Amino acid sequence: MNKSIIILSLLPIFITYLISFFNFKKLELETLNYIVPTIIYSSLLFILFSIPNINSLSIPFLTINGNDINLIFDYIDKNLLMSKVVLIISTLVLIYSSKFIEGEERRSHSRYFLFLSVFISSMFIFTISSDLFSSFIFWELLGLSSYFLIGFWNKDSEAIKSSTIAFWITRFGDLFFLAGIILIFTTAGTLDINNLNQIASNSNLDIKFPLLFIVIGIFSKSAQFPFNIWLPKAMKGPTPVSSLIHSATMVVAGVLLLFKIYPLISTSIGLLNLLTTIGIISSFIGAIAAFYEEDLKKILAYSTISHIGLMFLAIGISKPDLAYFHMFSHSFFKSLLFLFAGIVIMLNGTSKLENLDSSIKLKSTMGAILIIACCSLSSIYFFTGSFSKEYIIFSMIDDGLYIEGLIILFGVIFTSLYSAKILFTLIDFNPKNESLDKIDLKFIGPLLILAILSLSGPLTMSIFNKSIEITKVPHSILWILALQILTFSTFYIYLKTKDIINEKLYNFRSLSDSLFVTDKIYLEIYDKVFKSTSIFIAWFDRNILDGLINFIPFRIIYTSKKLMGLQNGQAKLYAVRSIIFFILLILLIIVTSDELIIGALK
Amino acid sequence: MDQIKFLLPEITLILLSFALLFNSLIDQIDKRITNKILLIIGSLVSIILLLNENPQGYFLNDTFENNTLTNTIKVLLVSGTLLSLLLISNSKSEQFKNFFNEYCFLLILSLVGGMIVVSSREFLTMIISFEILSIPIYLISAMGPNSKKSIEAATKLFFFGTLSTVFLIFSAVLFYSISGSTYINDIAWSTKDSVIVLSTIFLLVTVSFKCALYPFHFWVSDTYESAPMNILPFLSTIPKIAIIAFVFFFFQNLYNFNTNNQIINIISILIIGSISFGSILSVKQNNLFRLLAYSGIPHAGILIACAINPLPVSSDFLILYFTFYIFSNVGLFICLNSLPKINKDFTINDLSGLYKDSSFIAICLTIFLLSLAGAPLFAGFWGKFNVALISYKSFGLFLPILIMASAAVSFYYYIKIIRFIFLNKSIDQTYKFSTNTINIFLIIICVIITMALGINPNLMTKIF
Repeated sequence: MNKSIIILSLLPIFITYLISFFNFKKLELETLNYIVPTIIYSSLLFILFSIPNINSLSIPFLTINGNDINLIFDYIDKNLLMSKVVLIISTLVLIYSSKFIEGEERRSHSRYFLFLSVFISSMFIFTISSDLFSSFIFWELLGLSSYFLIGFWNKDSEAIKSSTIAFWITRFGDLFFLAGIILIFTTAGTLDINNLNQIASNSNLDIKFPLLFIVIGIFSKSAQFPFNIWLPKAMKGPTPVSSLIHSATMVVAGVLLLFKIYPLISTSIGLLNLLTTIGIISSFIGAIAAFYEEDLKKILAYSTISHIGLMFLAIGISKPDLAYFHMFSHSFFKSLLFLFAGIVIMLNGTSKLENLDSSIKLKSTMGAILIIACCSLSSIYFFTGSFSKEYIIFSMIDDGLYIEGLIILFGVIFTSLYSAKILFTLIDFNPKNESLDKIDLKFIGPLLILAILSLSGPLTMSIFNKSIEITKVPHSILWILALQILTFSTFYIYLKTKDIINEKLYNFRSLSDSLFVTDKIYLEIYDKVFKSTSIFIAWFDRNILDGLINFIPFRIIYTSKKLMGLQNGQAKLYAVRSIIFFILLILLIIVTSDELIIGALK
Repeated sequence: MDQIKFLLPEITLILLSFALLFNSLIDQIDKRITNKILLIIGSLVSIILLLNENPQGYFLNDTFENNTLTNTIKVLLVSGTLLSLLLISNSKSEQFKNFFNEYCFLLILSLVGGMIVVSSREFLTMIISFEILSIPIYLISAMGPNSKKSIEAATKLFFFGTLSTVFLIFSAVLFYSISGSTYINDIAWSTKDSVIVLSTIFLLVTVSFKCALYPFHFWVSDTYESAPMNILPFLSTIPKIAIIAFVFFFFQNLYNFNTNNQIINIISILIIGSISFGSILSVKQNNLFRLLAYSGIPHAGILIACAINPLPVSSDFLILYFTFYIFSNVGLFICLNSLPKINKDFTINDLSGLYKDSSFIAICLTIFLLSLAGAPLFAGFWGKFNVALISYKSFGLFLPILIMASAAVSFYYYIKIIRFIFLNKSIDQTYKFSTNTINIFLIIICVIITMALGINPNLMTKIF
């Protein structure tokens, strides 16, 4: 069973690859493109739910200096919980994509679904992988397939540039990740996470620097400060892809990994502090940037950075289960918001918020979904987003981190502000015509399911609690009330004084821009260093290397032509030459000593 | 009389040649069929004698030696000759119509000469067997289609052949002057006398003439161009293989004594020159037969490199290379002989569109050419690879690199031919032609052996 699950999860890749071959013939197999992966992933989900205990799988891969590197896949609850979330959201995104992609050129469909399958499968296996090496393999595959997916519209130069930037920044982090893995292997002699955790708790193994490298890799993949540039740029990709990248897969993969290796991380106070600091910075500037942003998808992107910052913060303050919980709940409402944004952008043809003014009617399904999503986003009580976030804030107060808590509270205000901005800009309170837009079931169905999951906070919490024990955070009802009042009052103030807030706060825009000075550095590096280097390398390759390689054959042909002239058919000349060569041989014997011409005879 | 049993295979072949000569005199019966039957029966008897009955050891005052290796090489020589003679007796062209029995007679005599070369361990018998090997070839190369050109080529061949024989005799004389013996396993090889080295130079120059090693290769392209096409399968393989086998035994003998390094120096110059210049010479050739003539030079160089290797495994690799070289070359020339419009001014361009005319011939030609070039999965790859490997063990890195570089260059000119066969359109109007059944049979035998060796290069060592 344990092996067949892996094989089953890899099956969609091969099937979509096969279909992409048939699609060049005029077989109408486009529908299979999404039906087959959907069926396979949902059956996988069914298997995971129905079979409770599956043995872990260990595949021998390499042996270096007597130490084994095995690919280990653990089917334990804390892995499987995320796998299930990944599968649920992936299945919904696949269904949504089938409609979303319809307008595109037919030949690109199979490409889209192929890379989507690679992406989902590698994320699924990443969630259950329980050793650093297999984690790295699927981590890399995630990066690669996201590169292709972000650059899916390959006629758009902006999309290409975005995907390239996303790729090289994540590659940069992967390099650190790999270095960390190698260092850990050389010091600890194993890459099995369970073994490592045991070793870390029993002996005082010094793997601070390797862990730092791994954490840097995780920062780059999760688009945390200072690697936060690529995530907003990745919005050039198709919206379902963004939804997948931002909710349950790529960016939270790092959080999942940190959760798995938490016992290792917790051996070093410095690392925990680093995680806390980066988490707070990212959370704060993500929230501010989201408020100032004008593009709907980019707002959501920055909001993701902010939320993931919170998760890192939770790990930093030694509450990994809260980070996991926040990741779990964040997945639902963020994918909901993205899929929603996809429909809005598709209907209106733009993603600029000012052009989307009053585009959703209050009394419609879409309106209801938007309200649920925004409430969940700003963590209004009872919605899915609320519990985890509140727990994180409360535990900060509980630990006595007041200054940090204050910054986070600022972040909460800005979170409410951008949620309000989305909500009150998009929604039309006084619709003039009552006719409802017909929206396809493939669009609205996944949205509804995700909306239900985002609506029911206690339900998701109970599911989560069944698998992993949440640390009890002491809190009083008063604190919850205070937070809710803060949120609601922000909403109210925004609604009443929309124009004033926009005018006043926009004066501080330069402040938020200055927070993103790192972006400019990256773009400078990309333009100056990478492009000029690649131009130089291309020149070097074309002229020097190819020149050298071409030089030899040209010389050979030239020599061949010259030698042909010697063969003129006159026997006496041949004879003379033979005699000359014979005399030369004898002379050579006189000149050379006993040393061998073609090397020593052993 | 007791020792005649050592020479039974050779005697069988001589009897066969006489029978063929008688066959040419009898008018009543169909000469072609009796010729083929005689050829097949005689050769098979000889092969069976070689495989089973032939006693091993030194005989006739230790001037000859029979062992498993000589027997194997002789089997290869006989089977290669059988294939080429069947082609000749099957030939429809004018000058072969009436004289094929005589051709076969002469070539079998030459083959017997080659077989004795392989066995001979003494200078006098060696000189005589070299002559038996060469003289029939001089005769036959004069019988080309364009008689004026053929006679020119034959004269050149005769001239250089005689020159090389003179060198050989002189080598024997020099050796005798020091050692008082004509046996090549004489103790005199261990002395560091410069006359012995000089004698070796003479011997090696003879070998270079006969195998067309650079820089003594001048005759080869002219001869290939003007000799009758049907004898090319024989001419390009049998004398070369016989003489290289002799070089192998000669050098294995030398290694028993403390070899003078200068002998290795001389032969290494010949090897390096043949492998490098032979490849370069072929690059710009346009005439198909000249190209094939030149492309034989690096093969001879690599074979010599294998033959002089002191490692015991070199005999196995030599047999592998011989087998592949005989069957690929014979198959290649049989394919070319099967083309209807073939003549000696044939350029590579004239092969254009062959695939459309006869896909069978085209594919078989491609297999032989790839095998000769040393493409992986074909026998030639293993041949060159093995030689490079053992050369690395004995002589260091230079020779293997040279062999690989020459293989790379040889890909250029062999694949140039393949490109014309497949890609270019036919210059003339396309015409389908039917190939003779016997030719197809011969080609298929060659293809099977080439492919089988490519898939399992250990085949030959398993059989013998």
